[in-house]
Amino acid sequence: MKKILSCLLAVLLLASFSISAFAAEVPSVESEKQIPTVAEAVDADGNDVAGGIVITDYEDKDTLPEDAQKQLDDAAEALEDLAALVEGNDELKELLDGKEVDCEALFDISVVGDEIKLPVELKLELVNPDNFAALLHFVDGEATLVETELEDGIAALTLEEVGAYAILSFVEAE
Amino acid sequence: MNRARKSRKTNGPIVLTILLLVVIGVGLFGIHRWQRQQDERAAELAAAAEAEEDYLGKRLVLTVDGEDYALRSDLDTYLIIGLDKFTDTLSDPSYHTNNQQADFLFLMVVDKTAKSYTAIHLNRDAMTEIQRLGMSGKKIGTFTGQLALSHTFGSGEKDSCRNTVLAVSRYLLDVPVEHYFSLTMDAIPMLNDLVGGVTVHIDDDFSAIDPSLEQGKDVRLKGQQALTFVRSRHHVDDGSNLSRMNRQREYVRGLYEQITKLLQESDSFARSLASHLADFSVSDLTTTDLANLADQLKDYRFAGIRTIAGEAKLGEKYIEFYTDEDALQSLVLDLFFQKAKA
Repeated sequence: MKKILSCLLAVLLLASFSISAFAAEVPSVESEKQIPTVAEAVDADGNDVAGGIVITDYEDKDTLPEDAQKQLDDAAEALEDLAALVEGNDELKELLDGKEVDCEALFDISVVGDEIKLPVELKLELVNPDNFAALLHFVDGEATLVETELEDGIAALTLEEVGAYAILSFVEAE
Repeated sequence: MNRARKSRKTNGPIVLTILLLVVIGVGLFGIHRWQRQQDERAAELAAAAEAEEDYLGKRLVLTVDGEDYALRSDLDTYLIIGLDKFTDTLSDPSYHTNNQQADFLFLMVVDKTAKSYTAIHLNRDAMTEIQRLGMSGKKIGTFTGQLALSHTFGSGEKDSCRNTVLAVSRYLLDVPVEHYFSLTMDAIPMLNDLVGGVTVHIDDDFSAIDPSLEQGKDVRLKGQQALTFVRSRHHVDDGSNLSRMNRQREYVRGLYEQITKLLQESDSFARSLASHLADFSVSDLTTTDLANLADQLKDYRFAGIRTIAGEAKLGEKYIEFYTDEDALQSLVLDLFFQKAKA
């Protein structure tokens, strides 16, 4: 055991020396997942409503109302068995055409203020557009494929409902 | 009596046959099982060999100024990852909630021929290619970002460590990084208490954060105080990074002395330290691996800490460290390669 400890000690020492790295210069990078951002949002009357569309990462779900949290949780659970989800959704299955996908992002889309009326023509700037496969909307864990048009890294869609959404991306060879 | 004898005579071959069948059956079962184990072992070895080939295949030879350099095979590499989070924030490790960064990164390179080991201190803000992982841990793309971000992908456990390993390998011109050992921040108060506290001199003014850390006095730090001492910056003295780094060095010196003293004094401390560390770490190293490493290192010389030069710039939002390519290549060649034989 002493031998093991001498090794651990060496490891610890190295780690300890490097504590100085805790003191990284501000502003050091913050962890960012891969949720999209609103590039453009226009309501049925042609008003710019981009400022009223809020996208919240699943990681920050605690900031959302209880029902929205539940919708995200149900979606997360459904996404755990992605193969079954694809298999059970004919539209999605046809779109993917047997190609392997993985969930890239899970997030909530909500609107702020009463003046924004749905539907909204929404353009989302994607983080990883090259491998974009599909956008799904979840209600009580049931996924619906959202029709999107992809151009220059922007996914255009009609936002009919607020709630839980997920982006699926094609898997690359290692 | 005769009948009995006759009966025994009659039953003898039957019993023998049954016994033989049982023996053959057991034998066949054993052979089958052995064969299966061999097959499984062969499959494991094949998979490992394939993985190694994939992994090492890219940089077995490096050509610099017309000279070929071959990757050394007498090295072992261990990546030590310090995480910016606490164990209790990781109660539900998952892809969706992991936001840990690799806050400090050390690659320990063990040279089995020279019987020495060198640590490379990697800049957490070094810009490199990072693999983007999906929820199931599959590769869904790559991007250029700070090394620290590599741990953000995955569940925060082994998959994230492996992603960090891959990013470090890519950064270091594809040299192999074989093992990893990650530690969360709360290892500090744990270690502090395990060694019975560390005595430090309080130079800075902590009154706004923890009045028990009285300026100008020697204090034996307990639990959370240790973390406050090594981590706090804002509202402490001039709030500079420099003063915090000085504190950290002082603390580490004290901690090292305490650990060394306790290791010499008590056999049980060794066991206790090992078991406590396990609660704060994620690693692919087993106890046997650690024992083997310890066996190696006991007579090895520590060859020092190397860093790689570069320039830190403010990017769009955050600090980005751009590595000096010549310095990187020089270090990689020096530590990982040797001139290829003609």
